[in-house]
Amino acid sequence: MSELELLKNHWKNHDNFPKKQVKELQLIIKKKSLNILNWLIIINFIVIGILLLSSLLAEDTGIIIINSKVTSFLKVLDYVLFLLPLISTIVCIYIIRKIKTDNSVATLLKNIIDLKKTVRLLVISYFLVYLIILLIGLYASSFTIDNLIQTENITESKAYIVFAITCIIVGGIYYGILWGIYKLTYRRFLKRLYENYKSLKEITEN
Amino acid sequence: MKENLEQDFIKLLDEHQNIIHKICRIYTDNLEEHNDLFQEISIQLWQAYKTFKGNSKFSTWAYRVGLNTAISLYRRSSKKVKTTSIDIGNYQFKYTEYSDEDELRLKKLYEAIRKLNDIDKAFIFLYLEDKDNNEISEALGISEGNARVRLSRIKVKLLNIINS
Repeated sequence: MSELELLKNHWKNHDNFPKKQVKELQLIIKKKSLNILNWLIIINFIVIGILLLSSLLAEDTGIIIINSKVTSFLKVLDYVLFLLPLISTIVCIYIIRKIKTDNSVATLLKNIIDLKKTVRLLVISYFLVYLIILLIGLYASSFTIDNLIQTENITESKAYIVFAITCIIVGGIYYGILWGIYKLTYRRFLKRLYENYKSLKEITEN
Repeated sequence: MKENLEQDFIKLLDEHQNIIHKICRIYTDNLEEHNDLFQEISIQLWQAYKTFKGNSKFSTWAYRVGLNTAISLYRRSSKKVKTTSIDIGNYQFKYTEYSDEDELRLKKLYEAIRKLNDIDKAFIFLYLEDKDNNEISEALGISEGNARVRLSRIKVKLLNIINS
């Protein structure tokens, strides 16, 4: 008997698994799912929550009004910050509804990857909007520094160095935390899924 | 209405639970993971059953949902229990009616299957379940030709692992 015939023969004749009772099955289907889609949604909301919270906190920092055009632009950006999660959530719900476990493996994997791409697009958009706000903030802060130099009697170079270091540290910590949450969690959850997607794609391309 | 649906489903799940066990057997290394995956597949089947139209047999549909869960949705437990090949053999397979030589060959074969990636495991699983190339291609979402070529490559790969 060849190796594969032996394997097939053994596989077919050894399926006496410990049978789960009906009551046990009833309990099982009422349990919570461990599946990665749930985790993707949770991570999505954590990222959105952190971004919303930080944009609310940023409102209190009181950026100096440079001129009315810049102020209106900042207001638009504020609306964008609140609209982005809303749009993203609607798109995510749409994609999640499309994810059906009785599709083929290839379709299911593609839909999950699409979901992940949508979340990534949201995070990138958020970072871009933040970057613009930060740049305007830095520009506006230069006026504050001028005031500080005049009132507190600090040398100009010293004031700018302190300001720059503070910006780098605060910005670094903030972006570092977000990067950590986004990258590490997704890498942790989706590594195996990506490998499977790649493997299936290779089959169709060969 | 919902109760009837649940009762119907539980009856079908009970009749076909071996399909889930067999998927768990090929994708997990220990009893804890086996039970986790069994639970996840059962939940996914129940959630999908609410829209199951009965266009295909329950068993065919269950193979698909089960494999999808194992390949795409299931996340292995982070507290993975370290196992040896002996543990795997003890928990999943029995070789009582086989000669010592065949037992060794079978153990090597199952060890080789463990070394395959998730997609290749799906091919071997469907092959062991006597599914033809058409059924394999439909379950995985690839063409029949690709399924045929890949399956024969995996068989060679499996034998190479054993002989290496």
